[in-house]
Amino acid sequence: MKIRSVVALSGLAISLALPTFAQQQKSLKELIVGTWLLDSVYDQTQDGEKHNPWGDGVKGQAMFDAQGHYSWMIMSANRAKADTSPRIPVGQAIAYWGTYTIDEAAKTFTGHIERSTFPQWDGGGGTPVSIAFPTEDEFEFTVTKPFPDPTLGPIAPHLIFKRAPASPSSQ
Amino acid sequence: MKTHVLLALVGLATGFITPAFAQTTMPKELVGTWTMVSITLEKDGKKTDLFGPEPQGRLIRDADGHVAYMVTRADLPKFASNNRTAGTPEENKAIVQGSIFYFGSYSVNEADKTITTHIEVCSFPNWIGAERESTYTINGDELDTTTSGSSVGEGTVHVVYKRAK
Repeated sequence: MKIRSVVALSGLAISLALPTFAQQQKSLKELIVGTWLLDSVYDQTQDGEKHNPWGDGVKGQAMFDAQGHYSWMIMSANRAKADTSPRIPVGQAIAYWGTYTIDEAAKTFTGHIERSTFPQWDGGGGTPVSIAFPTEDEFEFTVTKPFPDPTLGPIAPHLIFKRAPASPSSQ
Repeated sequence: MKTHVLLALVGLATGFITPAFAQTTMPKELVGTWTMVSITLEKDGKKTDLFGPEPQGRLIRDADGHVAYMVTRADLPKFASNNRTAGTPEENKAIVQGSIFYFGSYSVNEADKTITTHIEVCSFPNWIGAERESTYTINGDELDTTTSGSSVGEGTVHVVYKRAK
C-alpha cells in the first residue's frame, strides 16, 4: 500500500510538473491569443529619447483570437465630453481591425488592416513588427525598422501590453 | 495512508477544477469574432441606418468577459495631409461622427438572453464608464442585438452580426 501511494504521488508530481514545462514551450501564436491592455507606449528617437505621443493616461486594448483576427484601439485620456451633439471631435483616438500572422522563427507579427478610423490604413499593414514576451502576461511590439517623423527624425514606436485580468463578471 | 492519498487527490482536483471553471462561464455561442451586417436606429416607428449604408463593424468577445466593439461608416474620407493628427475640421468631423468604438467587459444572463456591457474606454467620451444592456438572439452564425438608447439620442438600436470567417 505504501509503495502504491508513493507511485500514485509520483505520478501526480509528474503531471503537475508537465504543465509548467509545456508553458515554456508555448509558441508566440499561443501566447498572443487573448485580450491585452496597453501598459505604456513611446516613440524612441535614434538618440535614445522616449516620447509619448499620446500623453499621460493613454489607454488601449488589443484582442487576438485563435483564428487570426485581431482588433486594436488606443485613446488619449481626459478627452472632453460632448455637450450637445454626440461624437464631435474629441481628441486622439484610433481603432482598427483585421487579420494577423506570426512568424515564429523571425519572432514577428504581421497585421493586415481591414478597416481603420484612419482610413489611409484601410487594406494596409503587411509590415512585420518584432514581438517579445518577457513573461506570458506581458508583451512588447517594436517596429523592426524605424520610420521618419517630421519633427523627431527616425523613430521606433514601442508598445507594451499586459494581459487583461479575467473580468469579474466571468468568475 | 489511503485516506491521506485520497485527501491529496481531492485537494489537487479542486485546485485544478476551479480556475478552469472560472474561465468557461461565458456562453460559447457568444464568444468569438463577429462582423457587423447592419446597425439601425428605430425611433418613432422609423428606421434609419445609424452609420449609413453598408456599415463596417467588428465585435470580439472573449471567454473571460472582455469585449471590443468598433463600427465605421463605409464612406470615411482619407486625410489629405496623410497625417492622422493633422486632419481638417471637416475630416475630423467625418471620422468622429462616422465611427464609434469602445472596449470593456461584459456579463451575460442566459435565462433572460441579456448582455450587460461595461464600457471602460470609448471614442464617444460620454459613454466612458457607462453600462449598456442589450437583448440578444442567436441563429446559427447570426447574432442579433437590441439596445435602448443610442449614441445619437433616444431610440432603439438593432445590430445584426455574422460570425467572422
